[in-house]
This record gives sequence, C-alpha cells and structure tokens, in this order.
Amino acid sequence: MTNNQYYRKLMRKSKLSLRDYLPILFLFFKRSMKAWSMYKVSFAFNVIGMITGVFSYYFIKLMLSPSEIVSNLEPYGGDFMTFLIVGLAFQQFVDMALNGYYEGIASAYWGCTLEQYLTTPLSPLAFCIAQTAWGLIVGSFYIMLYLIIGVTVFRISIYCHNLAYVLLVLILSIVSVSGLGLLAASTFTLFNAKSWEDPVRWFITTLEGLVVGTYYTPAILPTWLQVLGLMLPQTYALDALRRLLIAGSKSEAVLLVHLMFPFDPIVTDIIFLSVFSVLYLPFGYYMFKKGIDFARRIGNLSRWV
Amino acid sequence: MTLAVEAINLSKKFKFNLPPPDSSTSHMWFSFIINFIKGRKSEIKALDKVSFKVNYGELFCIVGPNGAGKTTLLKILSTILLPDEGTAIVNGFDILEEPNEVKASVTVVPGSWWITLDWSLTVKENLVFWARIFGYSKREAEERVDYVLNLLGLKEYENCYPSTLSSGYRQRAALARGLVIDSPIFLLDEPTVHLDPISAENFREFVKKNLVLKLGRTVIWTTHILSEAEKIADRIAILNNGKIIVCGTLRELCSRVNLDVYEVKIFNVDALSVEKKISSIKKNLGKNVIVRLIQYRDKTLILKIIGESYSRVEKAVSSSFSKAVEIKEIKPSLEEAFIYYTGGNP
Repeated sequence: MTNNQYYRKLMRKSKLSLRDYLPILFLFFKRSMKAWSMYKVSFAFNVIGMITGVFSYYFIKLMLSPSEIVSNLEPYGGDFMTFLIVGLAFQQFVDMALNGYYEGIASAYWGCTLEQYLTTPLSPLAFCIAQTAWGLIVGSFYIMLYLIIGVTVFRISIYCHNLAYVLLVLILSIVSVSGLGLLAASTFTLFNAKSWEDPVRWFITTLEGLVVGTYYTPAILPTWLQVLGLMLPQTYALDALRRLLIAGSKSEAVLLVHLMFPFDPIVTDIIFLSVFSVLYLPFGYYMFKKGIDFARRIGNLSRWV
Repeated sequence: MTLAVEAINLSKKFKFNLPPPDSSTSHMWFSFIINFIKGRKSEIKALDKVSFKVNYGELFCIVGPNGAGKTTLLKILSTILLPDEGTAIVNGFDILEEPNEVKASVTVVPGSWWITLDWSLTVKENLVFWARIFGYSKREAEERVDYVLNLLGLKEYENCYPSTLSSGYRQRAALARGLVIDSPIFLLDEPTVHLDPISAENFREFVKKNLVLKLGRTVIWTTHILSEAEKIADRIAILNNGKIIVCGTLRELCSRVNLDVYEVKIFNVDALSVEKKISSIKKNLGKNVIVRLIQYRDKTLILKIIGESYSRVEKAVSSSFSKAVEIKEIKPSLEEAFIYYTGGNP
C-alpha cells in the first residue's frame, strides 16, 4: 500500500448522510434540553409573562363593545380571546424559525465553539437547524400551554377542521420564515450584528406586531399597512391557522389577496406561503452561506482571532 | 505522494477598526471619527507568502513569538480561515478546492480549552458529543472516549463540568477532545501552554511515541516554547512576523548559526551581588549582546553570553569579577538559532 492509499484510508467521513444527521440532531436536542433545564427560573418567568400578557388583553377586551368585536372577527368565529390566544401561540411558534438560526450561530460564537463546528463534517447550517428545531419543540410546548390556559380559564373553543391542512400550513410557515431567519443569521457575520440583535429580526418583529394580525384582524388597518403585512408569511400563517382551528370560522375574505383570487382564503394562504417558501428560503440560504464565507475570509468566526 | 502538507505562498491580512486615541486632544478625536465614518481600518499582515512542506509521519514544529501567525496558519490549514493568496495541499487535497476532504484529514487541537468545550456538558458528554458529530458511531465514540480519558488521567473527572475543573484539567479535557478524533494529520496549536511541567512532558511523550512513531500520524505542532520544539520535533520552522524565516532539522538550524555562544562559570559569587554583577557585565558588553542567567547554586554562577567574541567576553567578565572564572565556547541551541534568525528575543 502506498503512503497515499494508507493515509487516505485514515480519513474520516467528509460528508454526513441524512442517516448520520438524525442521531446528531438528537444529540443537539439532548444538549439543548440540558442547558434549558438549567434555567428553571427563566422558564417560570416566561410562563408568568405569558399568562399576564393574555390577562392584559382580556381586560382590554372588557372595555370594548362586544358587537363590534363580533363583527370584526366574524371570519374567525367572533370570539376575541380565541382569536388572540390562537394568534399569540402560533405567532410565537412560527417566530422560533425566525430566531433559531441567528441564535444557533450566536450561541456557537459566544460559546466559542463556532470554529470547532466548522472543522467537523457538519454543514454550518446543521447546528442552526438543530437550534431551530429545538426552538420549535419548545414552541410546541408553549402552544400547548396557551391552549390549556385558553380552554380552562377563558373557555375558548378549539376545533381542528383539517389536520392535514394545519400541518401543511405549519410546515410552509416554518419553511418560509426560515428563509427570513437565515437572512437574519447572515447579518451576524456580514454586518457584524453580534450583540443578539440584528437588523432583519428587528425589522420583522417590529413590523410583525403591527401588521400580521396577532392582536387584531389585519382588515382594520389602513391599506398601506395591510400591503406591508402581505410581505410577511406570518400574516398568511395566522389567518389560515385561525380559520383551521377556531370553531365557527367562515370563508370570508380578510386579507387583500383573498379578494384578488377566486379561491377559498385558506387555499390562497397556502399558495402564498408556498411562494414565500420558494422565494425566501433559497435567498436566505444563499445569504447565510455568503455570511459564513465572508467570515472565513475576514476571520471573524471567533471571539479570539 | 509523500507530502502530508504543502503550504504554497500562503498570505493573510486582517483588518480591524482603528482604536480611539489615548489623548483627549480634540483634533485626534476628530480624525478618529472621520476615519470611523470613512470606514478606514488598520491592517496587519498575519502571514506573508508562507511556504513549507511536511512529510507523512513527521512531527513538524512551528516556533515563533506571540503574534507570529502560528494560529492563523493552522486555521488556514484546517479550512476555518481562507487565505488571501496562495493555497495548501493537505493529505493530497487543496484547501480551497476540496475543503470537506481536508477537514476529514485533519484533527485540530486548539491550545485553549474555552474554544473547545461546551459548558453545558460534562467532560465525558463533551467528548462523546464531539466524537459523534465527527461521524463516529455511539459505540466507537464511547470506546475512544474511555481510552483517551484513561490516557490523560481524566477518568475520575469524566462526570465533572468543565467549569468545576482547574484550568490544567480543562486543558487536558480540551486535548482529550482532540485526541478522540483520529485522522492522518494532527494540528496542535500550543497544546501544552496551560499544563503543568509533568503533564506537558507526558503529553509530548504521548504525541511523539504513540501518535507519530507508533501510529505514523503526521503532527504539526506550534509553540513558542523553544525547549519543547528541541525535544520533540523532527523538523522545525521559525515563523516571525508572518514569514517562515528558516526551516530544517534542529541540527541544520543550529549549524547555520553564525553566533558566538559562551558558557561562563564564575565561582565564589555572593548571592546578594549576582544581580548587580550581571547588570555590570551587560553594561560592559553593550545592548546587542545577550547575557542569560543559567544557574546560581553553591555560590557558582553560570551565565550564557551570546553574540560577542571571546576576548570581549573575557574582558567584560573579568572587569566585573576578580574571582575565578571559566569561559567555554558551546554549540548554539535552538534559542541561539532563534535569536540569530529573528534578530530578537524569544
């Protein structure tokens, strides 16, 4: 055996298969779970914040005229607390895909292991996906908590009209928002946005509260704000999920695009979520890759160069 | 193919923001703000056309002072960093064209535990975690981890979190993480820097005897500890200001040194006057001559004087010490070679 053959035989795997990735994903979950369980106080504060948030909106609701609420929320069954709790739960869930990629790269960077990950056969995207997937697991837990509070305290009525559609909307929402999440992660290296804040997430979360319809129906917004809301996948996700999960929801148009297309609003939402997935995900991935290459060129992958 | 690593004209520059001025003078701050707005940056040349070759099964030491570019060089060889110019062939693969194959051919052992270990995992969990993400199966990973934990005396600390260990043990854990992952080429970046002398010696011995001689792995080891390189290296390259100044075996490096080196033994020296007398010799010999204290025991002072002729050394020493003196010419060591090639102190 020549030197060449002998030393080539000693090489490790240069690329991992999907089968190799699954146990690694589980390892990342295990690690995240361990870290998460170390911060019990932070978890308790999150839950308390969540409950007080829901109660504040409940008291705001008491000031408003019930007939006005019912007429505005008719497409979603007419009950404000159901509308709000479903909106809050799923907006937080979908936002895990917005935050996970940035948090994945930031925690590796601040934990000083980012460069070490880059020496492994893992793609840099892999540990960001692992972080996001863990975020979605935590997000699912919060959805359950929101719904339990909603059903037991506020007597909201949840009814799953079509589980396949719910899953499809969730998957498309996560995929399309992941594109924006990757774009946010790319700014970590491209714009040196390393202090746990970045321009993309700042812009989206600021806009989101105003235009996607978490707390009120987007139909009450001025047209220009409604148009702005149409740029974000979260708008379609919340609309579709409310229609699919709230008992008594109707096929009435709420978003401007519902008036423009002759389909059922849920189908229109799914079409738009698919379009955003196709547009945002490749662009986000391209920028993320550019960000890593840029960092490898200028050498800012490590706190300690 | 006999070359494990071939670096070809590797160059790398880093840019960084200009620091704010120390002085509070308004015009200094004004120019700082203007530079900041214009995005002007300071530049540092970390590597300058670095070329060298490392054979398979060789322990190749790169020695250089802090800031010489050693870590940058290893980062480029492991594909973490991209060079501005040049390339390197690692295990037959180009770092620019085939980075995945290069990554599969090297194990990087950083010198600092804090860039290796995950704070939320115990020592054993850390090692298994990293072994698994490098593609080892669960069984393989656990076997390798057990072997390395025993080897580095970490078995009893396997369930401790890195934060609860002393810095020496953390460093051992970091080295263990590196050794768990086998590959044809190991890149060790100042690995013994936080270890106590005995652990450092054991680690050097393990690398030389096991990794290199027994298993035939290639090791590139960076260090600023010259005695370490002297002990273990098959060949040594001296890196200074981003340039490889010289490369060869220890004997080759020292034989090319055109420096006078003398060992001076002075007897019956009073302990209280040692420091004063050395200063006086230094003063007599001038700034360019290096005077080192080697030993002081039983009233005998041993000095090493580098870079001056016999007659001047004799004159300088006898003017400071009227007592018995013995001057002997000795062969230059790596320290003298380093001083000769870099023109400075190690």
